[in-house]
Amino acid sequence: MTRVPEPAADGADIDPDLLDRYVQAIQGGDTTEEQRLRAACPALAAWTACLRGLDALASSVAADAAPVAAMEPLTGRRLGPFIVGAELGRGGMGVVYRARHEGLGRDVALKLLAAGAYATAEQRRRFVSEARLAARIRHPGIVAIHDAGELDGQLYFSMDLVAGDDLAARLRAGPLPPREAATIIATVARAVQHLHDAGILHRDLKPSNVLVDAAGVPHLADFGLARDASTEDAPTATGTVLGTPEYMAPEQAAGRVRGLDTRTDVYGLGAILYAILTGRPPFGGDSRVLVVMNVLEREPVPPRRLNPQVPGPLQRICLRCLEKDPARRYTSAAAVADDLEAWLRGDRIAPPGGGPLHRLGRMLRRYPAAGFRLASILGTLAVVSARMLDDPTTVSFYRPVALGLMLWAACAVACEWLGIRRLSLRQTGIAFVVTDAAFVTALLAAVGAAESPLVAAHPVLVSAAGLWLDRRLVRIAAAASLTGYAILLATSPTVFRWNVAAIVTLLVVCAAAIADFQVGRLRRG
Amino acid sequence: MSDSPSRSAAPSAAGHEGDAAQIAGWLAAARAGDAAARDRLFGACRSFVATAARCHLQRRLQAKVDASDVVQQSLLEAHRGFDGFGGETPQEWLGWLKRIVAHNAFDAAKRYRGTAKRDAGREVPLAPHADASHGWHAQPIDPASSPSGRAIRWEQELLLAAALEALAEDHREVLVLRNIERLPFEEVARRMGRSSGACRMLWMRAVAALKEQLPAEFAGGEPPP
Repeated sequence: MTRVPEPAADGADIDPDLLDRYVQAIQGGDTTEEQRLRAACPALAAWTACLRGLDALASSVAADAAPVAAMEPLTGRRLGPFIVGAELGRGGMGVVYRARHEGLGRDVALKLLAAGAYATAEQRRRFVSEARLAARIRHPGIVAIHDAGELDGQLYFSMDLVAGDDLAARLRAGPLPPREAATIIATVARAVQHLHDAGILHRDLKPSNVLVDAAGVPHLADFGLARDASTEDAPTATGTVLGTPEYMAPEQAAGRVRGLDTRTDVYGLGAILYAILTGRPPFGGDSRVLVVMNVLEREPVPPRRLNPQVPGPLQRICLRCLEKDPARRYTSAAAVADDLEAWLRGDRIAPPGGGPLHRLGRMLRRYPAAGFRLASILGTLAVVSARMLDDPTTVSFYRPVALGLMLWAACAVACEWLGIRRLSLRQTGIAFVVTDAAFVTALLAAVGAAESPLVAAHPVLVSAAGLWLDRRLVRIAAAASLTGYAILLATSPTVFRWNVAAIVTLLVVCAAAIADFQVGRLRRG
Repeated sequence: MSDSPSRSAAPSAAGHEGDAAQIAGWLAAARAGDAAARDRLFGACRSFVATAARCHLQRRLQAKVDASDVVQQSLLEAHRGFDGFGGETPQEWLGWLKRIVAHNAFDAAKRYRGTAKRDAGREVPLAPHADASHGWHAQPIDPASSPSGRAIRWEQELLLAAALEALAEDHREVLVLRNIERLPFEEVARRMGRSSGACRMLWMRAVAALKEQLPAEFAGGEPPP
């Protein structure tokens, strides 16, 4: 890139090296050097405000940086009585180091506020509140806090060093054996119950917050998002940052902060159990928005489908924790522990509750593509059947239609089945979209509806394809619909009217454009 | 533009200064529900958001990345979450915007690098408006947090941001790298793919161009209070 030399702006006669030194003085906060340079070259005065402004802008941007702002690693440094060792992990606000308390000669985990000296008053307050909440708890299943304070301007607290891995690290090697998973979650559930008894909600239960020691005993850690349930109004932990969406309860993912209760943590227990049984969180997605949508709208894939070794009762316990409606989950963490322990002892556990409507809702959330197709196909079939009953002379006309609808329903079920067993999400989508276009075309041809308002089914199919949240599927659906419509016109005995064909084509294209745009929007989110 | 060391005491009508002077009024009106004031407020803060986004992305990715997605996303979230903004002063308002930008830039950087979901994005702002009474506002800039111990007035931040956005792209880039990221010229040169000497000259011209963009207040010799 070449640049035409510009006419000299005012002050451009200053030596670049001098200006650079001046900037260095400003950036280093060296006022004597600043003054000396200004005295040596008075023209610099005109640049002062501008350069200082830029420098202050830099600090101001840094000061409000995300809580995860970089802090120089402290490894190897001395901080009060501690000698800081390796970094163990990083959370939303804090960095955890292994450290040695010199006086006592013992190793601890040292948590420091990540933003360090850049921390805002709010971050500091929350950090202190986390330490205070955690300090209220004494339980073998919860990482204990030793002391807290401030060293060299760094807020810190020290806690038990758990020699082992967190569950997230264990997961990378694959799912845990079911009995081990159940034992771990039962212990964690008891610890969570202890928290609840103390009036504290954890609100951020996930595998990385469960540390497993060498003996295999889990310890709950990280109270960064915990909240004192008794002081609803006090801004102890805020809604500014919420937990990882993958492990969030739907009520939390919906952005609610108030009205969360112990059953939110029950969901969290279920989410961890799901993850360690299957090796993946209950819900995923390419972007935050998609994860949240899945958490809110979908049913988790049953664990047994992902890992056939998962026993049925364990799956039932897990899915009951993960119910969308808090009222359908276990009422307490202790109840989760009870059921898990009962299963470990070989006792029977309570069968899943819920009436047929609840089960239907769950089926629809689990298999939305086939479910909603079946519903609309059966609805159409009902209308067709009613018509045949109403006027028996139409039976011969409608019989192929009714058969076609039934075949379509069967194909939808087959697509869903293939999607579960064999195909990727996109392949499943293609199967559904192409099947739909084929059946709509065939049915319209059967009733000779190339010119009737029924062709509106084509644009409807295209907009429905948007629900797959895949732009390519929207385009495939549009292509399939237009092809179907062309075939319909070509085989139609009626006279071809180009204006009608153009309008229908336009409708299909519009529906595709709208769906495509909407999907693109969500994908970016 | 002159070298006159005198500062205008009252904001002049020049350039974006008019915007800065009216921010407080627009903010109050927007908070009272005036949609037109809200649009003006967002319009006046757009380059501020852009500058903040650029700085954050540069810092996180150490590469030139298009900031427009982060700008869009941040403005969108600020729009959506506006009712949840609990502050009153322009300072709180800009602090709030900055935090939204910081979070979005963080997420964007994470996506860009394609790092594992687990280590970085553990806590994300899902809904800035989720809880108005906590956190998102009340973020006055703490002067002590600046390494050189210097605070900046919000009016000046806005003016600087507007001036930066008005510059040619390479001018802006060299200023962000040298003055905001505080990198030495060798590193600036490496990132911009030019020689160190060429960067120095480019930088000189960029500072001059920036000074040209700024109203008289900035041309004065005295440091801002």
